[in-house]
Amino acid sequence: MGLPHRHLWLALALCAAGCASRPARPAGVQAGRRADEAEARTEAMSAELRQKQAALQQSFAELARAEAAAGLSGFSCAGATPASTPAPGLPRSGAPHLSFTFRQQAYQVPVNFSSPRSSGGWRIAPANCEVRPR
Amino acid sequence: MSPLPTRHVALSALLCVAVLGCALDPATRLRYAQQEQQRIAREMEGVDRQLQAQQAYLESLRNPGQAPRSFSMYYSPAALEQLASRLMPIRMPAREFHPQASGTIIIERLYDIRFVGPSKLTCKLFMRGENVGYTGSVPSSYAGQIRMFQQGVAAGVDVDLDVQLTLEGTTLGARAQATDTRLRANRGSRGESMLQSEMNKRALRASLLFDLNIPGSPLPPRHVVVTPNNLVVTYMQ
Repeated sequence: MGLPHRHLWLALALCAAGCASRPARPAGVQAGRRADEAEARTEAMSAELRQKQAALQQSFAELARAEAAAGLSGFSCAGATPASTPAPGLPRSGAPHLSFTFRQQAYQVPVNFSSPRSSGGWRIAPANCEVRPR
Repeated sequence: MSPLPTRHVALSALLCVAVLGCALDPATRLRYAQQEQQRIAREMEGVDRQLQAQQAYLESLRNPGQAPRSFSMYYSPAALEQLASRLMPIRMPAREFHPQASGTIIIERLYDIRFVGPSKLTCKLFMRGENVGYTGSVPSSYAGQIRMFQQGVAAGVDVDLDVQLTLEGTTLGARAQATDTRLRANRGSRGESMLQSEMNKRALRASLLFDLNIPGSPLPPRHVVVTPNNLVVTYMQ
């Protein structure tokens, strides 16, 4: 494959020569430096984003253990409020907790709560969630 | 010049552009870098919000006695499956899946919901075609393949979905994308990948938007946290 390789090297040499022969004017050098700095900043931001995404993923696994320890798992639909600082006016049985439109039809998800029980520092009210057209 | 050397020269030129970067002038490189920074900054903002919500929830789980006045609503995968089941079956014109398809696609079931990441869930969907036809012109040599594909869609299609959740203000967005599509009969990778790609472009293009406000509640929705067990919506000042 002598011929193709010769062409390959020729093209590379032309490219390199083309780059090297560009005049290095002061304005061009300054613009090049600004571009280098911007690319370095982009790389730093990417690294920071990856690090934060990894932290999110790690906490995701921790949350399962923390919920289980607090008794906040193993139900279908439920409402919970801290026993020492309960939310005023909640839970509200019968009130829609989700509203959405799907294929031009509006829906609501009304929730009905049973009597709350205490677990850890929480008041947990098991609930029944339904979808109804609005 | 013979075709082989031409290809090599083109490849070399591409290499030159990619490796040496000499074809991109500094202004273009600067512009690309700034655009990329804006995209990362937007994504970072969402990740920061999620981290903040996750940490606040984790803290309240560990120290409920010091948790702020709040109310959290928990939806398990089973609860979401049950809610989805009330919308089934969903009948959609087949043209919403492919512009040259006729007939109806019926989504029968959405199941196996799993919370797999801080803002992501996966699920499976089963659908089937009813009187599905192709309205485009088909060369006679392909007619048999089209017929086989139609029969496959009629027998049923299993679809794996990735669903990305985003919170904008008090609205939770759920954007689904098909990641694997399998006909129950007459399997063929070309038809399956075409169906999946068209489905992602059309039927699954828009996010489903959920308003999280509880009418009459004094507390607005503040955080949404996905855990391996639950989708948790927290209401607080």
